[in-house]
Amino acid sequence: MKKLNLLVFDANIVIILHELEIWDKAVKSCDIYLSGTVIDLEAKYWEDNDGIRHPINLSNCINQSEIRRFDLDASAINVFRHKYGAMYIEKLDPGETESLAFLFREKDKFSICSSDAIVYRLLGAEFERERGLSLEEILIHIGLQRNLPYQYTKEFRERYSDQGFREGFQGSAF
Amino acid sequence: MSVSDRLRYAREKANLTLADVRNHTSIGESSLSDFENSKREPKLSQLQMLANLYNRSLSFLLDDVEIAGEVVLWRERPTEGAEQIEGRFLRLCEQYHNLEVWNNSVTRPVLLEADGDVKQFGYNQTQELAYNVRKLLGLGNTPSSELLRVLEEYCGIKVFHESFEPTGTAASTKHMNYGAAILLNSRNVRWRRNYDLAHELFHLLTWKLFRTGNENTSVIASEWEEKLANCFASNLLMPSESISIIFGHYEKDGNIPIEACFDIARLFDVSVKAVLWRWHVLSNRGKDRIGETEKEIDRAKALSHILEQRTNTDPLDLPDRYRALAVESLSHGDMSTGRFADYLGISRRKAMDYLEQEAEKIEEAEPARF
Repeated sequence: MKKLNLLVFDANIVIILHELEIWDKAVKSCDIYLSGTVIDLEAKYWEDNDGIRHPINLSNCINQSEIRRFDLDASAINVFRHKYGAMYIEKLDPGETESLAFLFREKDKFSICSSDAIVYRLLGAEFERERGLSLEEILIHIGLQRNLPYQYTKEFRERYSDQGFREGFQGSAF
Repeated sequence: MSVSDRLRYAREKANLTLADVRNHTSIGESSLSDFENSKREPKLSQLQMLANLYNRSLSFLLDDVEIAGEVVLWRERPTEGAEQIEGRFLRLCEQYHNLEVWNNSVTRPVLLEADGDVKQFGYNQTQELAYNVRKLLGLGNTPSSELLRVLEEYCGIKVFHESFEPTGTAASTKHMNYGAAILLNSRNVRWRRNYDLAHELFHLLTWKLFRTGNENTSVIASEWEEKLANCFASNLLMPSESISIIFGHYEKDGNIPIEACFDIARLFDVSVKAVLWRWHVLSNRGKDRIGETEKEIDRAKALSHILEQRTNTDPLDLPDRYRALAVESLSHGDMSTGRFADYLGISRRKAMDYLEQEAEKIEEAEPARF
């Protein structure tokens, strides 16, 4: 099975993988990149069925280069902000902003996995829908298929990528 | 204004030293100083940490235009934590405005604004303003029951509640971008909050009259303005046409029995104190009898544990309309999960659960929007 390369995860994906107790397996099967904001501020804990919080500590994964961290500075985010507007920055999680800004900046073709419709809408509006990947698709690829809530599915991703594509085409996206 | 300038501005407005910021974040003082002096750029994770601490949006820190004036008018500014309260208040106003914009639901305010010469603005003008507002908004004879809902839903005034000391104070603001907003104290009982709401409404209606000249970020209303605001609140919530009839029914030998004051307070959903002062004015007792009214107020206070039959209702932590707009934004894919969590003050996990419920509805629905 080929390792999935150049994957950017947002915070929800990191959290859900911990809740499903397959984070370690996912890390071994994928080449994962996480934004500094996701690591430092957003993916801090997961909750079990009893509502008990368990801290998420990614430092070991980073130290062992199992996942890679990237950080963007204010001026890089400002480029993103000037292109998409202040309102878009406000709609997105800061980790998603950093991840998308990174995605669009890098020459290598990274993909992003999210459970937020707004991320896929933006990719669709930029005619980059192929750079989105749902968790469902990733888990199928790495042999860890699960029944997942709708927002993690391929259908969800395609639905909102389609919407974004139409909005981009009509000039109403931003 | 650069990012560095805005970082310094936001920190100073939050009344925090570099050491305070270091203690609350993992960012060292020398790094903070470098950020504020444009020697180094913060990473986004650091910028977001600072935004959270300063109660500012990321966009605020990244923006490069001049900062719009931020005036929060207090009756009595809290001696502790005022900057944090103001910061949270203004941030909520900004968020509410964002939700309205995202949902194409910006309410055009339906409000009478007082104009003219501030020196000519006295009790007569205030009474007239209260009368006109009550008529314009269709508040009826007991406006307390409708005032909050009407102001939020039809006038576009954002009303928030927070717990702070002293309890006898409230605040209002009129922001160039976010519009008019009121902050009430959640520690107060409902009938007290009704009065405070009407009182703060006066400040919003007369903002152009009284907020002139040089303004600090927080302003204390003058004693005269406060008297007019109380006059407005009394006239609005206890209209003379209706309360005079009630007073006439209960009046005996020039007084209103104390038990009746509690009944009247319940009818208009104001405090007994407010009723007694209203009686003082409408019965033309004058300055000579202020002491008498104050004694009646003390007596009412002493008897309240027996005679006060009302049950308080706690205020909502966030306006219903605000919540509804946030859920709409999330379900339309106009907002991320983490932002939804921030806006509602809930954990990311709870927000993810919300998204799961909304996503299931979308999955089951026909794709009519598309």
